[in-house]
Amino acid sequence: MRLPALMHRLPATAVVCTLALAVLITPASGVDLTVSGEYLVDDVTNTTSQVFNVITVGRNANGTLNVFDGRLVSATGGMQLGLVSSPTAPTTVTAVTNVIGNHSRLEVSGTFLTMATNGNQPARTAIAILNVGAGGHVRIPSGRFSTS
Amino acid sequence: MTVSGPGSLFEVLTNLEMWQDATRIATLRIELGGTASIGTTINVAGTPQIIIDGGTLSLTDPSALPASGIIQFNSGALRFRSSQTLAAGTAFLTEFYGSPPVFGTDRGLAIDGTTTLTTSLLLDGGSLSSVRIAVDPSTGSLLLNGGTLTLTGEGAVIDDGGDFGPDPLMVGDGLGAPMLLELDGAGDVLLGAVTVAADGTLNFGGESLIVDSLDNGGSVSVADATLDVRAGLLNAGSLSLSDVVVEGGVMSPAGATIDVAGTVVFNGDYAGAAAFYGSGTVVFNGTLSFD
Repeated sequence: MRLPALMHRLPATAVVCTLALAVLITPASGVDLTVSGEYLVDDVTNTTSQVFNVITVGRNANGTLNVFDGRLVSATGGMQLGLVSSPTAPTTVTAVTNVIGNHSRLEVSGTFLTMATNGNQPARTAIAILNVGAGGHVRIPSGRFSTS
Repeated sequence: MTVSGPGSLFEVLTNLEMWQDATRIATLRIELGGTASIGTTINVAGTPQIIIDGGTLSLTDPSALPASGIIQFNSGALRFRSSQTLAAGTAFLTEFYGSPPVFGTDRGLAIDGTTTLTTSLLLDGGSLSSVRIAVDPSTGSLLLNGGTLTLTGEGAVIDDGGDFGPDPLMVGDGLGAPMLLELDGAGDVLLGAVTVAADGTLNFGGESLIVDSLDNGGSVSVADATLDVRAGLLNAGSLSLSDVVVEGGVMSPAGATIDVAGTVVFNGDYAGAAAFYGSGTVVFNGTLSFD
């Protein structure tokens, strides 16, 4: 499930989708970010730091947050990877966060959780994956990991 | 979770909790070039996995380690951010380095403080890094057969007599596995008798390296420092000096080499037909014989 070290650049189609997402979300402190599909922060799509309140990757759907090329993403209110709370969610939800390359940083204040499956959905599972690649730095105050 | 690649860092300022239940196993994999730094402790429920596969797990001290069996130490290093005593039966030593501890080519340990050795430790291709090392002269020893020993502190080596475990301190064993003793800290370093074998290298980057005697059959490099060899220096290998004052007698027979840069001053007697190389200036203040 890990990305190869050189997989910094995604296909052009993926970049286009992320640009569309970026239009919908105005990064600012106090705004929550929920990532379904892909959210990409690199030197092409975003040239400034991204500051959010709570970041949720993979909420009832697969999600991937990519922080590349020396960019900084902050979650001032905590972060969770993999949150399954809907009975219509897929049986398995995969939440991936990649922080790779050139002093790329993910900084979280508050709790960092993986696999936050709601107890009412025992038949569904979230798989949380955090990859810190070459040059990447993830800084959290504390963490609770249920999956990798 | 995976930390992999040069400069990659996963930093937890306080606690890391890792769970395992019927369907989920938390896994932290630390691969080559990666570091996972945990501020206080690793709390586990069930049997999650921490796999050290070439990277470094950094903790305040061994008490922060999870229960035995959680960590799968394939290769890489542990780092403790405090002084440590390495004694016979020390739990983490036994679990990860064996008993008696052997640092093979796939094993490293870094201690950000003073390492006190009260047991025998064999560096056999791996790495050991510390600010200082104190060897208990009665029960401790450090055998340097191969690998890299890096001492970063002033007065890098300390114990009762200036010895370093068995006397003389052997850098390398002559059997071919390269052994590097890197003394990088500022200030003075005091050693007893030192023998550098053919497969050994000693690099000094402090202010004064003071040794009872130095028998070099391998490679010794000193820069911007005073090299004080009280009972003399025998150089049968490669000696590299850059802006160095040498106190004490030097014997360097034919077949040996001395590379000079800057100004090198021999304040004691010098004898031998070793070949000099380099572009610096050499000053002999004692008796000089090229026989």
